[in-house]
Amino acid sequence: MKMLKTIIKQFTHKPVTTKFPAEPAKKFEATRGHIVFDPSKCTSCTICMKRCPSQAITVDRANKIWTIDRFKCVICGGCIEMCKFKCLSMENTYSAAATPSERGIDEYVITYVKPERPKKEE
Amino acid sequence: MNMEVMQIAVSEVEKTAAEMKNQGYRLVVMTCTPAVGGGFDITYSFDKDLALKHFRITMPAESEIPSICGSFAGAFVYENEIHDLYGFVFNGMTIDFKGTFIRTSVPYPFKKEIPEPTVTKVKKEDAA
Amino acid sequence: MTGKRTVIPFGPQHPVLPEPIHLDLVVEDEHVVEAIPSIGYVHRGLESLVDRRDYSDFVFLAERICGICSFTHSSTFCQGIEGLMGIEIPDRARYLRTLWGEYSRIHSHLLWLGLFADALGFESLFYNAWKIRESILNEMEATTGGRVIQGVCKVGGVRRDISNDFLSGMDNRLDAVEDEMQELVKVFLNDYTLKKRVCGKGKLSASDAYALGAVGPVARGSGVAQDVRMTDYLAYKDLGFKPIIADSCDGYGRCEVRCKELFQSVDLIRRIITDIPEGDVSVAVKGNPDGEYFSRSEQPRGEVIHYIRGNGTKNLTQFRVRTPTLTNVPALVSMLAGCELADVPQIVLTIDPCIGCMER
Repeated sequence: MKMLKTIIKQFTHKPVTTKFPAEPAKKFEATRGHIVFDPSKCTSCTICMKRCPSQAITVDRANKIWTIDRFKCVICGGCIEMCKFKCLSMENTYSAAATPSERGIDEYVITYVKPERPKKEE
Repeated sequence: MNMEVMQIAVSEVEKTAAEMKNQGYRLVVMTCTPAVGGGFDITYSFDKDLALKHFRITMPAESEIPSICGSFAGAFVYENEIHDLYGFVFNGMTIDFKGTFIRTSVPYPFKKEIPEPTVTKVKKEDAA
Repeated sequence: MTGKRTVIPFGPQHPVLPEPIHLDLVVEDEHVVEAIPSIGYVHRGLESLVDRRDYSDFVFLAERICGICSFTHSSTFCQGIEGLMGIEIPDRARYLRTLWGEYSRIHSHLLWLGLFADALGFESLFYNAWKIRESILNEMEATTGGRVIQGVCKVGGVRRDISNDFLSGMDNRLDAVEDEMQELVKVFLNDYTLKKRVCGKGKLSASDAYALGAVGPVARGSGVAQDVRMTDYLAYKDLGFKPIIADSCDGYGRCEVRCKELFQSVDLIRRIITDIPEGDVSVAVKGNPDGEYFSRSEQPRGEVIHYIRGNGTKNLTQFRVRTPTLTNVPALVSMLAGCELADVPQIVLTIDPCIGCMER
């Protein structure tokens, strides 16, 4: 009898769950979903690779390739804070389901071009 | 919070524990850490009315330490844990698991030397 | 009449246990004479990673010690580093850490109440408890970005601020949550069947609880007023804090303490929202930690100790965690001696075991 009120509520109210594939999953502005990389700003300084707690990021300086393993990434957001060039950001959607061989590893080709320094006048 | 650690000899461990017990203290934790000049530090922390008191003994690896289970029955979890992770032998534990409290695949995993940092190595740039 | 002694293994896989712990129960007929625990099924050696990581990055690892008390682990670790380096964090950060700490206490207690109802076979109560927990988790996610792993604590303060508008919104939403919790707690504390399963089961006298070093709701359910929140860490000094104790010294007492702490946490959150000062939420940190520090705070399950030692480099040299479940194990062993075999699952659950925490 102690639960009667709660039980009656279940009949008169809508279900509290969401029908996930039909309705989108709930998310908030602050939700840490996945990390987005902007290849045009990265200078290959490798700070994100050195400080990543789960070693998900690798930067190949010679071939200009920035790689993230979505399965290793714990989405702590540490790299976003550390990046001095603001080329990393967080989006509040989760990355899609994948198999490790398929899409777990995302590779980006760094397109950053070092701006030429104004030549010193001789 | 009290950070002052009193260094005591191994022979005084049981006496100190009994004294603490008589004064109405509670065993908070036994911490085992590698000591600065080799060997290991075992720190006994006691608490009474939310004030902490620490005692420390410094021991070479794999040596024998008298157990304080006589005064604090709850100490067996810490002593077995230290035995399983570091390989110290405690004499007179109330429940002695003989190394099966924490079953690790590597015997005494924390006894080893401090390893090198395992950060991702930066690949050397090809000379081009 | 005494029968032959038999040893019955309990766990590591058991329907009431979300995590693996093994107990060897020595039984005589249906009575448990002795219980011998053994752990180590999920030992990860997380503490030894500390000398390979930058101290400010280790916060992310420290909060992954446990999935439920994760916020308290990160705040205790940060508190230790700050104590070592003599950093004074801004008042607003202090209050925000307390706020999230109390939210995680509500979420942990509701989780436990749900699991407990489930272990007793009361499924609809379990769903109701977790339904309320979901609204707490929503607040967490909206303010920190993570449902269970918050990742907002950093050395020198917190990463995110909560706007005052949002704080007052949280205050309003708490009213509905509190009403729902009242309904829920009424069942836990008064239901005939539930009371039959907990009253007088798992006896632990106050003197035993103190001598065996029990902490948190296990100690408070036995009438020992032991709560680290009475010391002046974070904002508890300004808020004024009195621990909740129950003196029935059994499973019901432990359940009662957790139920009442839900409302205590709600009160604390309300006080925080009205009293929170304006200002920055973090300070810049320079230098490296040197020396040793015992940092402690109150988790939902009891007192946690982080021992930190640095040598002036960016990597700490030593890090040891004593979690509340480990120190509640001797108390559990003493509770199990003399109980009925059929009551073992409930008694194990009343200490709120968190094995992930216990083994790091």
